[in-house]
Amino acid sequence: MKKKIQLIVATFLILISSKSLAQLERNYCPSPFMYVIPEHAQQKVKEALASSKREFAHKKNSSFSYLLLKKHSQSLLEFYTKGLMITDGLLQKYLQEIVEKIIEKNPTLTKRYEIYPYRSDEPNATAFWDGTIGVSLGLLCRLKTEDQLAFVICHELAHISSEHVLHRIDDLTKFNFDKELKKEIKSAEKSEFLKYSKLTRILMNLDKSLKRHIRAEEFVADSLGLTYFLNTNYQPREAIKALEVLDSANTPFGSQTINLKKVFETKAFPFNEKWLEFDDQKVRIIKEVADSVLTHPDCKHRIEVINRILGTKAIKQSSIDNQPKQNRVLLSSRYELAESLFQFKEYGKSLFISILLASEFPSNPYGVGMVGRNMAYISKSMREFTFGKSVQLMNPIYGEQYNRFLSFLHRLRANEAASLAFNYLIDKKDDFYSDENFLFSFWAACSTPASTLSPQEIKSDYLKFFPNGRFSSIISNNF
Amino acid sequence: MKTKLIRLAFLIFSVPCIGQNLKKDEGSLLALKASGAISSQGIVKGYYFFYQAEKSSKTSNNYLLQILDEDFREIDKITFTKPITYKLIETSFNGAAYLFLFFDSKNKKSNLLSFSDKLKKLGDIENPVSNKAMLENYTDLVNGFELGEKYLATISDTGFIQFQNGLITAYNNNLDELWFERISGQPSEAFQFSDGFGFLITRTYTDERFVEYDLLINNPNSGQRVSLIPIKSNLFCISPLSLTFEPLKKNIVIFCSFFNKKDNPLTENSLGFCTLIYDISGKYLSSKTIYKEELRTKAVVNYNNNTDELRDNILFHSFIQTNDGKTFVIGEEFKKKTSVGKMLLSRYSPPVHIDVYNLVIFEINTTHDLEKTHIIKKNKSKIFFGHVRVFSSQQALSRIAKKEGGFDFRFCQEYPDKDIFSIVYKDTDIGNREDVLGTITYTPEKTMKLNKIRFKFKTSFIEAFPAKPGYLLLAEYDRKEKKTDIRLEKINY
Repeated sequence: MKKKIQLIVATFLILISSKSLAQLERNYCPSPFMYVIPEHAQQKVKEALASSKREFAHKKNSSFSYLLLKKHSQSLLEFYTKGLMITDGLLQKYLQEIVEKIIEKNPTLTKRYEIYPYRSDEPNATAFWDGTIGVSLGLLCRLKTEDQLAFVICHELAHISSEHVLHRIDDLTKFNFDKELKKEIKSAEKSEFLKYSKLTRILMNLDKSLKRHIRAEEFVADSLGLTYFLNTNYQPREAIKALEVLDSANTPFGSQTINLKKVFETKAFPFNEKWLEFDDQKVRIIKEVADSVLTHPDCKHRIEVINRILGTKAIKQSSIDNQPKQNRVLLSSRYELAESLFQFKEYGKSLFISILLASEFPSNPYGVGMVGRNMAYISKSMREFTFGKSVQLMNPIYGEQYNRFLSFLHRLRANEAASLAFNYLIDKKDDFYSDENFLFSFWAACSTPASTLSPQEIKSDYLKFFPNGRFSSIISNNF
Repeated sequence: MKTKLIRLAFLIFSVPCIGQNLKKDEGSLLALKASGAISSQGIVKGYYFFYQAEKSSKTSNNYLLQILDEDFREIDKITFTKPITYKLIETSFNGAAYLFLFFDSKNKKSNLLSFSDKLKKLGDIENPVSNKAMLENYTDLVNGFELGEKYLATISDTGFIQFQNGLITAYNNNLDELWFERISGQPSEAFQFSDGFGFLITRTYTDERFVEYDLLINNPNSGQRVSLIPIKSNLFCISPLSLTFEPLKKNIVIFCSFFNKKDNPLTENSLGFCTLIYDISGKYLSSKTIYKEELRTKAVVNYNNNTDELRDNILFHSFIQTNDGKTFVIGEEFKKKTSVGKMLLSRYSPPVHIDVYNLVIFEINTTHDLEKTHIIKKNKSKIFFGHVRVFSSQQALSRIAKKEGGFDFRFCQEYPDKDIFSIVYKDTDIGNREDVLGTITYTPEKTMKLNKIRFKFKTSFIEAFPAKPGYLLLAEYDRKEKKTDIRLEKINY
């Protein structure tokens, strides 16, 4: 009987998820931005703080440690209040399921763990001391398989079970009340000569010492995380691939090539080849960042260590591109990221992802609409002197393809960007006009000076079709 | 007031750079002494920040020099020890090396320091400054007067030229002396062309009514003098404003204001402006005069719903030559005003101010005739001088105001191909309590395109600084967040 119920539940879940996954091809509705702290999260932090206060009581300088812990908790709560955490939806449920699978195979993990995707393009995952884990959309976009994601989660679980946050607080408290250090700082401050040199030397040593601890913790988390990971049924070698993904973190989406001419060429507004001119001299490296100044150790080094633990021969680098197609649920993180970046007014990055989505899923009006919408907002930002906030400058830390894309945006004039947005969307209007996301994007493009259509008409249509739509309040104002 | 705001902006501008590029704790130990853009041939190539780090002994300090590239990314920072009476005067970049000119006010020495583009030290030379006029100029700068004159020029990729009153010296990047030229007067402008260098020399006599100007041309390799020609007219009194080289015709063009023969250019209004044309050997070829009446009657193009007519007094800010052979003269209208009402209530002389009006651009064609006058309407703003300047002429006041950065014109942004240029200005709309940042761009289609954006006083304070071609460096202070965002912004045209 119990098995029967399990089967029914499983079938139901499959049905729900397959319906949601169809969004990737046909339509996509991004998760809403919630700027509130879920009650259970607030309660969890409260309880954890109360229990920590009791534990800290017997410690030296406990009030300072407790203050740091409160600050740490505050930073977690800000993830909710700033709308960064995605607290609901398919992706969140998927992550939580993986956590449950890992816990099931690792009985030593006894805390109440909760995991959320969070809105950031930086490939990163973060663990809070109360058992909350955040995995950035930027990382989810890059990971290809559930196994890779599971290793990342194991690594974060290891941070929590090893109480690294509390260790760091202990370190900071120790430094804060270190008599020798205080004496050294005081003496430097009092010195008439070479005050700056002395103080910077002290600060640098302090910084180095803290980073050394953090880097050591990363190796511990890798090692313990791998132990958790090997207890599960996931593929062990995927751990290495997950680290390779992290190693390629600065290259947005590997080295995908975008054919900008193919995307934006229209009869009404021919593509200008000059926009594609690219001067790679402008993206030269000016200063190498030494590995020692980074908080995280070099991924290649971490791969070596894990390889040693696994007892296998080193896996060749750059195998990411040969990996299987991205897991379908993970794929939805790309839509979420495109939407999040647009909301954060990072139109350049959002456009890059949207072009990739529109090429992969041309019948999905969401990606197509986002291409035109981002371009319309880029044109607006050029007119309003906010382009520098919305589109990055070229930088050698990005891959060549992304730099070429940035170079293209920087070569455009405001009226050209507006024309590209308008003509791109008007070509697709007949197919997608009834879609809410597309219609809003089309209104944005029609509100630019390049439009030959009245934005008022589009606005009326939107309000008629979607009186309580997501964009009703925005569309009621001017572009 | 305006000047103060600009200075405040400059302070704001410098503070976050510390936060961005040095650690905060480290930054709070440093005292910023100077900062600005580093240009080569009118193109911004980077930025510098010069800090006093600490005392290294009773007589010397350790200084820190931070160099950022044109994208505002740090190239590197270097520290060096110099006397406590050390002041950075000017900086330059020739495409391959940086040059920094310092002045030691106690020991009365100038110091040149050169670095490679990767900030490797190349040269370090000290020279005593004995010339009285030079000492006065440097001391003025040490005492806080804004930099008006130029003391450095570049030799593309290979060296630099230092101007001093009575002396022009050329150095290679390692600061080995290449040649020098003794002159009578102060060199103020220089340009490099394939066959030589041209310099504008100003000779000022004890009675400031008598200022004479020379055009000096030197051989680029030997430094040998090719010619020295007095710039003068038999009919008018001439005051040169700019020296340019026309690469197509290989002509040297000098733009001047002209006055009645007996008028003093420092106090009287000009009759208009003229161009004097010379070949590269210094031979006089021709001249053209444009009277003020012509400036008014020629095709006037108005912007920002302007209905004002061109005013009499114009202070010239910049001269731009484009690759289609046209020249654009950029100026700003002004008028000296005395507050008579306040005079009656005060036992002191009346307070004086300058009203600043519209921005004007005179478009001059290839034959040096006026083609169009563009008038860009702005809100009237005031520059105050207090009581002491009541007897100064409005010309003199305008020069002081310009030196202190009091006008609304900010800078001209040139492009390497010289087909486009942009003018950046800032306007203040007191009524709506808004700052207006405006750009006027001469587009590839040979038209002027105006773009402006408003910033509410309540929410932000903005200032624009020169940047690489196509961009401006925008410092935006968010009053609510108490944060300054510094970024490169694309100029829209």
